[in-house]
Amino acid sequence: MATSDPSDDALMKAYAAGDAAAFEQLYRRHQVALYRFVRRLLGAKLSAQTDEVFQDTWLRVVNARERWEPQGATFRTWLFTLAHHRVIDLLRRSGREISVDAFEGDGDEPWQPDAAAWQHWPAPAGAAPQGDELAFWRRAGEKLLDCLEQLPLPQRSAFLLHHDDGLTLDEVAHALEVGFETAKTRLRYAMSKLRTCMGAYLEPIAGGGLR
Amino acid sequence: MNDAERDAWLREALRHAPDSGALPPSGVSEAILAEARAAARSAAPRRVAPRAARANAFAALWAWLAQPPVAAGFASVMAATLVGLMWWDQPMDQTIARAPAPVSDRAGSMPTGSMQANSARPPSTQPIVAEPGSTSAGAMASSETRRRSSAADTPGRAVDAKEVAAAPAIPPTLKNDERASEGKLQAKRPSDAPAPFPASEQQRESEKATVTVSPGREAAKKEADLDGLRADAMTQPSAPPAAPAPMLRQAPSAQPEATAAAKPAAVVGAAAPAPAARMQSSGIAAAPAPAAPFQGSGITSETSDASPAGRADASLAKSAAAPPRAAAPARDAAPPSARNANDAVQDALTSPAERVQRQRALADSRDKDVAALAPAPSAPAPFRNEIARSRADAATRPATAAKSAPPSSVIAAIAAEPDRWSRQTAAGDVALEPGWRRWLAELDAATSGRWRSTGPGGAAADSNDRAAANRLGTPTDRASRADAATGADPARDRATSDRPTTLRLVDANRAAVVIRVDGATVHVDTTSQSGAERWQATLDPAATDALRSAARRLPP
Repeated sequence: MATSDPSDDALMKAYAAGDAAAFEQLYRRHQVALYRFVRRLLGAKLSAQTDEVFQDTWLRVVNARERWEPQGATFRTWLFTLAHHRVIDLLRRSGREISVDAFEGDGDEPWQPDAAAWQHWPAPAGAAPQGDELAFWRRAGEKLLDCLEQLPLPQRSAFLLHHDDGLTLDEVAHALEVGFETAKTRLRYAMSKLRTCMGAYLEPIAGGGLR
Repeated sequence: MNDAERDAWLREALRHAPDSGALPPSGVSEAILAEARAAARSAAPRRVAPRAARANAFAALWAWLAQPPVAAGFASVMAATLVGLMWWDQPMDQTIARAPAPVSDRAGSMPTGSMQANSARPPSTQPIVAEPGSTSAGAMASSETRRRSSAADTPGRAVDAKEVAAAPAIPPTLKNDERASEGKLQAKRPSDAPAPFPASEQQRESEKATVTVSPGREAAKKEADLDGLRADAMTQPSAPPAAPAPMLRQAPSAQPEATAAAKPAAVVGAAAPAPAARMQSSGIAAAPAPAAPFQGSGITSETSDASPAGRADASLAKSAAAPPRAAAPARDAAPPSARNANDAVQDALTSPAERVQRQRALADSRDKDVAALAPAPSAPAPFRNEIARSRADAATRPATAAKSAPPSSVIAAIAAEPDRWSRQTAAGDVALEPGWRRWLAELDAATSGRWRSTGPGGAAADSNDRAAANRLGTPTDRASRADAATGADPARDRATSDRPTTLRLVDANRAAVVIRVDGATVHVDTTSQSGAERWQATLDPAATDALRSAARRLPP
């Protein structure tokens, strides 16, 4: 994002004033991240509903252009909040029970694999992995998506907003409309489960290579 | 390895996930952008039309008001505001009927209000309409005390006893007005409340005898009931009703006739002139069926010019009774045996002095009953008018009966001043011949005791009578009218048509009497300074023929 580009709030105000180009710019800026967030939040079983939720989210932005006020949150946070609400609505319509409790089923700290297992991972600093390293990260990414689907929705949304979309904890709390500590706890539990899930995946590596 | 390093590896794995480069379909993107452009185009005109924005605001306000909860609340507030404005600074209406109290409570509390209005009042309560100006201050204070105590049950009208006792003398006119309105108020309340339950056994018996009787019941049973009631009434002559039962039901309690006859006419609630009570006690009506109509009509006729409270009582009784009008003739249908038995009972129970007084009261009451029988209680307004006419007839009947018959008065007037009288003929007025005087004497003899007044003459006369009245004008007027109408000789026409049957007498150059013999009827129209009168007598055909033939032999 260039520094000379107008902010999201300015573009939204311009669009509320009747500037359609401002909305196109906003759309191009956030379409990929929002689409990926919705798809990962819905999971593989409801991936077919991604387009519907994505379109519905943007139409709500269009309809709410005159009423929109920053009110302490950025446009990006508000946009992901709308998408999160749409996903919850869809899950409720589909008959899936949505737990608002981020700690359901979490009695104690989750099991974590041995620290030695992580030492076989390649260094994450590599910008353009090649060869086996690239294949490793692709398989790791597929495994991570499987682990994400095992997380409860609040923890999954917190992890995606923080680690995928780059929102701060405050913005995560705003987007999920919860308190800061709640958002932090959800994120901690989500990371713990993912480490467990990914550590179990990495155990065979320590024993002789990837499965 | 700490969590931070692990999280960096997790983020790297997420970045290389298979869906990391996923993009929305182009169709979805185009649809979203098209919708956004359309919305942007519609947003611009809205901003350049503030009037439309105000209209939208009004529409939004109207839509908000149209919501059921908002509309209901707004309507409630408006209704409360309207009611508040209507009753703003207005006193509470004290005539609003209150919820009926239990029977036991009403029996104890009613005597102040409806008892005064319905039950028999002492003669001192009669001047409730027109209290004499010479009433002493003490009497006025006591009357004021009664009045205020009767209104004590009205909210906001409680009066301290000391204040009543120390009330200064109020001008009689003011007090009369106030009492009249108060009497209306008191008499109105019982009509709103349900009829109280008769308290005493005697009253219940009386009510039973009055209410349950009907024209179709057997006369023997009625007679027995009436005899029992009559005996109870005679043994307890002055027992007042314990509960404020409507006066219709109190009438059969039948106070002694002498006491009842002495009651003032304005006190009609239980005053003995109530026809039903009189008829029962005197034995005229052994059949109690007409009791209700007699009560209603008699009461109303007597109270039409009485106090307002009395009128209210009459209306109350009228509304409570409302019997069929056809039940009135049942009085005459009572069996003679029952009448005789009642007379015998009355004669045995009353002293000679009371019997004489009762007969006098009965004679007066019959005339009033005749006037009271005419109205139908179910029609209030015509009822009063008819009552008024009947009363007028009843009031004038004794006076007219005392007058002498027309021919007698004419003969007496002619004998007293024969020079003043003349007779109209076709040739003019001529002196009244002795033959016509004898004819008048014969007419007087033949019609003695048969005259009856048919009402005032003049404007009330029918067409024939108006024609006769026209003939009572001056000779000049008569001649001109006759010439204009027929064009013939008026003297000849009158001589051939009227001479045998019509005699016109002139008193001091003024047509005073016209005597016509039409068929078997003799008509006499008199005109004097006091007014016109019409009389009529019906004779046998032979008598009228004799009068006509005698008249033909007299000078035309």
